[in-house]
Amino acid sequence: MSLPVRTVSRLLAPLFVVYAANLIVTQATAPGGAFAGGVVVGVTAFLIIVGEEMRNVITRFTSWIEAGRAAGFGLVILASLLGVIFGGTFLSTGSWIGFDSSLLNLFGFAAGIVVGCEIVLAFDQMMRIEVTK
Amino acid sequence: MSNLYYLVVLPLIGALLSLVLARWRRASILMTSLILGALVVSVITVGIDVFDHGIVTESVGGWPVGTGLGMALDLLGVVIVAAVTGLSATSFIYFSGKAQSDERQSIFYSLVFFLVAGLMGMTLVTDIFNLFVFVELSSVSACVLVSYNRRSEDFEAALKYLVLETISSFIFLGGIVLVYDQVGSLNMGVIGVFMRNESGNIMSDISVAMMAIGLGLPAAIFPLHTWLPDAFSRAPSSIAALLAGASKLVCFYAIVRLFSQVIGLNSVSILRLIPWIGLATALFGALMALVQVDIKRLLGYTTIASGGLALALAGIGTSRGFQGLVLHMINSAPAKAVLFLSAGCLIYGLSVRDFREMKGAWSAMPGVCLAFLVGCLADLGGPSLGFFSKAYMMFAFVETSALMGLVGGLSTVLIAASYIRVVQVLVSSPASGDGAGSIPNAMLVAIGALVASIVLLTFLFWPLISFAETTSLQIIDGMRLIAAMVGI
Amino acid sequence: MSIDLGIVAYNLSFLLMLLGIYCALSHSDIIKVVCGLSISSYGVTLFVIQIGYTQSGSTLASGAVVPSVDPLMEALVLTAVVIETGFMMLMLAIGIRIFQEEGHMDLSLLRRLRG
Repeated sequence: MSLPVRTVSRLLAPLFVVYAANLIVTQATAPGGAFAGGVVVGVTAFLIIVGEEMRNVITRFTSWIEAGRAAGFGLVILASLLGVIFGGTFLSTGSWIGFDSSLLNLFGFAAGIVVGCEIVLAFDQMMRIEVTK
Repeated sequence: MSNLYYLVVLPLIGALLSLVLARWRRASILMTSLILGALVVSVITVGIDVFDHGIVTESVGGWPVGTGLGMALDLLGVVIVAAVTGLSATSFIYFSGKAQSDERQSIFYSLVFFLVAGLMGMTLVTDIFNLFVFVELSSVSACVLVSYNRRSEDFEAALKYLVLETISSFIFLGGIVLVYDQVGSLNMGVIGVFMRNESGNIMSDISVAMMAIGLGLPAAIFPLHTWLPDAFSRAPSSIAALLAGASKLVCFYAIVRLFSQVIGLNSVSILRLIPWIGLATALFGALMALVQVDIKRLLGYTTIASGGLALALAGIGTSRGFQGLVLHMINSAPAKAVLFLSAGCLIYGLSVRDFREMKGAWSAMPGVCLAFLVGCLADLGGPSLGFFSKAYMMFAFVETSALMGLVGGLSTVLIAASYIRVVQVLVSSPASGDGAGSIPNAMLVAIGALVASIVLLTFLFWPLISFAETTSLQIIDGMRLIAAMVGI
Repeated sequence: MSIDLGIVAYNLSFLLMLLGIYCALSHSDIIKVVCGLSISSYGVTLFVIQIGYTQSGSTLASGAVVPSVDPLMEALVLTAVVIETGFMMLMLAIGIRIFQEEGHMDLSLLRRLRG
């Protein structure tokens, strides 16, 4: 990859990650908002991989990203069951206890984290495949 | 434990834990057994609830059932849920017979749990958009599981399934949105009320046909069946058994619920084609099965054929038809599974896929061949619960139209011919002195459990027939399910 | 003759969906099939959004009657987009695996499964 691509990807990647984090946290209750944050994180990972200077950043942290995915998935299940624990129905938002849709926030936030980690891991796996023929 | 959402959440917890516990093999096997046990307990308590009340509904998200999402389960749904749980348990047991690395095992477990979660979700939802979501979830998991062995033919089969599934998902989504445009709500009950009362125009026909295409592809109905022989012949045998037994059953349950119960077979004129499409599927599958040489491909085509007969029963709409359908569903889950699992054992032991080279399997592996024979008899209507399901099926066909009875009988005879071809080779004398490899005990345990369940169902035929009568009355009385879904 | 623009827009998005399917069916390279199916999915999501656009929707709070988008269709579109993204990623992953095994990405050369 040429020098401008590598430099620009090295400069822009942290900006993308911050923007993605903003999307995940603030758009958790908007329809489909946190998923967009997750996809932006994934695209950032692709940018990093293509840029090739920071490729080892992702390779070193693969186990952390898998842990993040598992934690996010667990948080999604927990958020859907928290309503049940406090005496409501499945996937309830908790507004009738006074949580005021914060459980939905948690659900969206965790969903965004899961999507981001999963897309990063998928790109990482795809780039590791070597062609033998 | 008697809440409906446990049926969906428990497999998802299992998927999560099998991803987390990837490196600790004993812990992941223990966790899988615990989750399956919890699922069985959950199914039993839900079943008791449904037997008491007829239909059990539950709201999701705190909103009352009519305005928000809901989950509903009726008597036939209990059969489906029990079949999915039992077949996934035997699938896990069969799979543990082959040696796998830890990472591959965790991938298999998590994907099967996702598939089970998708199938459970499909039986429980009361609005068509969540039906779409769960259909796609189970199809994606099934597609990845088909390519589990990672040879290039497996990827070809998975790609074929995936491209067809994508196109049918577009058509399904288009149909859902067209229905929403007319009705104003995505709730199946409201759609049912609309279709029964006000559906005169061409739009309702088109939208229902598009939804039928979307559901028909996972169910492998005639023009949309082409992915199934490739996928079932290349998938690992435990997955083929799970898909043939459980996934087809769930897709047919979704078709019965949506078209026969909620929308009503007389409301939309295009639904009158369903029995004929089903019979065409059955005839086509039976004819194609006659020329196959790969044993799992042959079983794939006979699966298509018996699915076509089930669809024809679902489309007829008489009470005897639904009784036959219920008995057919109860019978075909273990029958299909034992056919695929024993075919997998034969392939594993003799190292050939072409059944013409499996001569003398009876003397080398008598138990497995006996299991295959039991599966064939149960599928065909031999001495087992399959006899009663075929009897009700033929009575229902002949009552409706003589041509239906003719085609149904012809398909059954052709399926029998295919099975006779295979069994004839299996029991003939061995060609060469090559003995069979030894079969791992786990596979034999799984096959034995399924054969025992087929025998048990045979002895329970009288209570099962009365259960079928109750269930068919409930299916015909679609307004009761509509009322439960709308929240009256 | 006055053309009802709403119906034209519906038909155009349906045409886009059919064009995408034609593109997927007429090419033999896996990447081009994925492109065609992506185009088709854009057509379907356009169709869904148009169903949601009404000239006379009213909000609960103010009661004013304004052209608006049905929020149920918004949520449906976003969920459908997520599902289509999953499908495309899976197809590309299978395509990469086929490339790894066979050395090409040409569907017409994959002929092992017949009958």
